[in-house]
Amino acid sequence: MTRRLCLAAILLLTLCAASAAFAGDAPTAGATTATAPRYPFTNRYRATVYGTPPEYRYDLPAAAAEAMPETRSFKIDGRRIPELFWYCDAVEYSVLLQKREAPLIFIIAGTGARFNSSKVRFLQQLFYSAGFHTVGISSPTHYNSLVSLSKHGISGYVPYDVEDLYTLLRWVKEDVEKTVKVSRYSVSGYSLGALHAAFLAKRDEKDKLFNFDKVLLINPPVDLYNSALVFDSWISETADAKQTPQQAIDKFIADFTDFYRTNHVGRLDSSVLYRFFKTLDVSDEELRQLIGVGFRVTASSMIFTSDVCLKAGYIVPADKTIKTSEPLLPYFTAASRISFEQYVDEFLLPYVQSQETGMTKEKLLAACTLMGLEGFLRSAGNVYVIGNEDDPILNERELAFLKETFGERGVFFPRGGHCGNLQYTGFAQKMLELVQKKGAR
Amino acid sequence: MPPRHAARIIALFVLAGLLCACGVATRQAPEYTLPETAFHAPKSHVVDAEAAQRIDEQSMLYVYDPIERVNRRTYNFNAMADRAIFVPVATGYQKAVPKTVRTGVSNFIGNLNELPGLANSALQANQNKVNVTVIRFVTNTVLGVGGLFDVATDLGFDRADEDFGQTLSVWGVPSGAYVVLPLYGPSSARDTVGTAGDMVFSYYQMEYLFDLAGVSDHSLAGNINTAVRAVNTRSETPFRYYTTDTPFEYDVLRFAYTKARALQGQD
Repeated sequence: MTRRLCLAAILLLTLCAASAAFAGDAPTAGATTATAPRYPFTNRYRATVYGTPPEYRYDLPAAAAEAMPETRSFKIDGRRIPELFWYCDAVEYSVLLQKREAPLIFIIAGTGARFNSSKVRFLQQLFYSAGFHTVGISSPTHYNSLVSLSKHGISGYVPYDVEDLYTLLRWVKEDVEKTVKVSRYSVSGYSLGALHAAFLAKRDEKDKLFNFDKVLLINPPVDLYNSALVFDSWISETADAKQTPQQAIDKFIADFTDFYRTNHVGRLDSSVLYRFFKTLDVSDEELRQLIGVGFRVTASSMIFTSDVCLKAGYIVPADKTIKTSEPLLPYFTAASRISFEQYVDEFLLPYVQSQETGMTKEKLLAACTLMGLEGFLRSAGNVYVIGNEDDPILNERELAFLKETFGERGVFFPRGGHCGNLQYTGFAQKMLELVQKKGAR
Repeated sequence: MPPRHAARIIALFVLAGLLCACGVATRQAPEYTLPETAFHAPKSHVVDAEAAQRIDEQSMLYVYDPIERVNRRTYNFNAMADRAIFVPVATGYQKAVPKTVRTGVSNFIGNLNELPGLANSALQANQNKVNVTVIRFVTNTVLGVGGLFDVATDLGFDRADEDFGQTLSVWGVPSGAYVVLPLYGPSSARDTVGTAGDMVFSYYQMEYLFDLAGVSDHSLAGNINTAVRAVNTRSETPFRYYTTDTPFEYDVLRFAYTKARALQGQD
């Protein structure tokens, strides 16, 4: 039973190609290496899908590697929870606290990721090892956030998402300060969470609840919409592809089956998976398709959940209440056919227009890009960015924008793809260096 | 396991679960109560009622599941029972019992399970797996102090872990419909028979061992055996219901289970 479920979990991980394949394992503690070997994947798509192999990972001190964040939650009194989502009526987050007074850092998860995703947990343990209290926060795009927290029950419009996050952070602050002393606050996030972190820093200028000491953006997109369109273009039917995304996935599963059968795999763990990847002959196109499908699956979850919460009649009939016993596959199929562009044009924009008079697509998109924060980012001496030059979600113009805007406060690695080298020794050391910089403000 | 025993064990777990349960804090935030709105998406991709009933064989995640509605109810029941009882008990066990002891318990149970595994390897006429299982059982029983230490894995003999469901698969029995078993979780028509077979084997194995150990109260010993196995299994299984980042978890898990079992049938 145990092994069966582990197998299932590993298959899930491999299927959700957008998440790094080694996500299941906790980083291990051990001897520290004096000279870190170079990050192994020179191909940006490989890096994005495969992540950091165990032997290249940052060696956390044993105390941090064994420290497990505690999950906390609360419910919003009187909130309407659709019957189908009975199981996510509480907002959850994870805390890993020092025993004495310390600075606290929030970590905002990336697109569709939860507060306890492997990347959040690694960052929590990493910053914990440097003496921080750490708090993991789910992405507003995660379906659980939509059900249990989101004011509007919709996600993707950054001002709304950031307002929800700001409220949540305030509640978490009140909760944490009941038990421990916090000397100062910082905020960080990876991928879309990094973009949110930048907007949170800007938002705090108004209320000054946190007066963030450090703001660390890890592999941010510059423009949520642009990056989403890139993912969508990789699986679009008109793309000049040798095979469909479905065929790419079938091939991936077939390859894994072959590998499993011919290697008499006794135990499936990350080193076995890494061996599998080494044997795998995949083209860039196939890797792009896997990443694109991963993103599409995430977006489908978000769109379906939002539609159920709002009873908007987008894929579920408006007058229908889905029971817990009903098959959902037809809705998944329908949602997975919707591109991000369609979602914005047909659902998100009309909703925001129903709330704000005079809203246009141009205004909506302009409110969701770091370029809109340029002035703030240029002058804010406490905001840092760390990323990779070969990040596939950034185009040349966007990479140049980040480099130029952040100047000396930006660190870019030549390779690593999108968050692929997050756990890589050199990358982790640099993140620690940035959050510990003195006298930035 | 006679039903009366099962009822007693469940009652015990409920009690333990209640002891571990802790309240969830609430927040007052009137603007966050998600009131209904009149908003409707101007363009719709609505799946009409008829289409929603049709079995979606074209889907990437399609699995033959004719009793899906029953399965989904069972799945939700399992998720509730897991949250209310099994996870709190397993968490309590992990907190109260040191890791070395837990590993010993796990190894001991694993060693007992080598025997049904051996029977299945033999029924599959798989010489390689029979050898590995015999080596593991003897090594761990002798060098591993009656199975408390898993010396064999350290020596490079990974568990073959054969169950009766896999044996049936080797014999050519197709997996049949997807089934969610109460408390136990994902299965198939074939694996349900397999699980029942393994349970019967395990029952007689334990009866024999109780006799061997001179235990007079078999019913009490049987209850303890079941409870310890349940707690051990749950604390070793990282899966938590409804934490897979998608509201289509049932569908994804069904797909992954089916693929994983198909893989195991081929090793």
